[in-house]
Amino acid sequence: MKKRHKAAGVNRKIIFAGFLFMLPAFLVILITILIPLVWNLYLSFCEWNGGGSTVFIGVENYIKSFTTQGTRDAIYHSIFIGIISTLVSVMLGVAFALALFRIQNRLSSVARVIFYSPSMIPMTVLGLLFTFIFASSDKGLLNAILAATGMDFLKHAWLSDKSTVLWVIAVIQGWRSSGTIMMLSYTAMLNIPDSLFESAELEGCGFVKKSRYIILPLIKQTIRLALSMTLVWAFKTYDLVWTMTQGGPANMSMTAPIMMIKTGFSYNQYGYAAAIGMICTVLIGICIIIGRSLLRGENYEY
Amino acid sequence: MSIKVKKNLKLPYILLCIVIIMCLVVYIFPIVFSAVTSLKSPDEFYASIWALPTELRFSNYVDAFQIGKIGKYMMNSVIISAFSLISIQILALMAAYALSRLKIPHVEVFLMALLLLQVLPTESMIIPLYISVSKMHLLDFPYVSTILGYVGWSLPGTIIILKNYFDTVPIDLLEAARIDGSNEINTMTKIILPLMKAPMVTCMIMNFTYVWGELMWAQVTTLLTDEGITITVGLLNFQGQYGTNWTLLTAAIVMVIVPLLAIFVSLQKYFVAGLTAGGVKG
Repeated sequence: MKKRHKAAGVNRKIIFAGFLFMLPAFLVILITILIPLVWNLYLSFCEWNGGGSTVFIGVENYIKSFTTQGTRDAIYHSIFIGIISTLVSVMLGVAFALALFRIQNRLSSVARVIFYSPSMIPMTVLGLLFTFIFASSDKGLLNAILAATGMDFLKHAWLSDKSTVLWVIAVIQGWRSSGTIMMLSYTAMLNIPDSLFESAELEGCGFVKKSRYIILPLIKQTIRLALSMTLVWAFKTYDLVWTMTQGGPANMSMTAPIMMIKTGFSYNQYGYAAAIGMICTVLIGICIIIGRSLLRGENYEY
Repeated sequence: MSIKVKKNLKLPYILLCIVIIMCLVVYIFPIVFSAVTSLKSPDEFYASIWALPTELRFSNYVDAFQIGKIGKYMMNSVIISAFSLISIQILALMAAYALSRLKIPHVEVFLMALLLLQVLPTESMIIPLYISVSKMHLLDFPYVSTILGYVGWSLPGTIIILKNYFDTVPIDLLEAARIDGSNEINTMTKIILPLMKAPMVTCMIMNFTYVWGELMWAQVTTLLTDEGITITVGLLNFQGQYGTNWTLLTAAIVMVIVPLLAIFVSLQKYFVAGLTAGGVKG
């Protein structure tokens, strides 16, 4: 009896220590995430110019966001970039991972580093690099290559043409995230037990069949995680656009986050900006739910 | 763990290798091209963008570093990254350890909340956080508010990942230490941390990539000041100042990319090990 009492006391002490251990992290999260989040929600229903008093105006900011052409376009561009770049990054990432998993030699460890590298280079640097590559003048690398290989007819003012600028941005964004997807998928593949492949090999399965029936179903959970991650990143496309076009020319590549920062910090309409932020958040949530349900189905464990 | 590839040089296998090598060339070419361009003088560049530089000229690097203040911006980024990474790592380790091994009731509720917070975009909190740091006069001090945001926003994800790794440390090990009278902090630093090297490096690389490359918050917190401008914001200023002076800009690009690649190459062994051990799933 006495012993049990003592054990409970030890437990209580451990739990107390546990909460103490969590306290600092909790405080920081409270200050940087929880309070701002609630405040932002409140602010999105108000009008506030940075000084003076806040006036409660209900859902007017939201109505304004959906009825103003510029804001609506920006939200649409963000969705477009989100979908295209997620497709690019998941397809590219999984394909690279499968290829590296197939060859498993010196080349694959070198390639692993190189293919991952875009994911760790800052977006602004990549943005600068790609401004250089896609520059519309003859000094742009891509146009220069096209000219040098005699494909002049493909030369394009890539970043100032309405039909190409969003595609260029979306593909670069997706290409950048593909490194992370590749790394996550590849390490998930390494975790698949050998025995599964051995029986498949006995049956005479080639690598294509093995990937279709063994690898891909088994790493589906990882792909699903990667999918939500890239969707969130792509939706937040800010640095890339800011570096390459600043939303221009004529708002053709304006994305919702840039719109939000400009509305808030250049025009001092903080309530309106907060509403755009909230709309982004909700849309990201919806995209994640849709994306994950597309990949739903049984989870295979091994 | 891996499939044993017999040394069979079948055609599909060779083709795959060739495709990968071609992809590698596409990946590497722009960087090599920038490096070559950065060694040219503007006149040489405008004469022909393909020609190699006539001499090894590092004046672009010196100019970018001094006149373009790239050196100063880099230093700021190093300071901000160092403080952020250390704080994230310490706070997240403590919280993850508590969630995994200190018998906190209803752990799943905390985890669910963290998952939700991790997905929330910064867009939904950046404006109020800016207002509060400016009201608290934190913006008067360089670095502080920038670091605060990075630490807070990275914590949920890092805690989740580390918690999953702590779960793999056998519980008997802890019980044995407790019976021997080791206190919790001692147990954590002496027994558990040595087992956590790979996951810690993994989190470190992920957070470093985020902090080093973040633009929006860095831009917002340095709107009204010249102090504490990070490399990302600095590069944009640089671009604004020098427009299409590509020889100078490519020098700046190369200067930022090379150290990052060096760090990653030297740590990638742990990074892959950390990811493999954790079995990241969602």
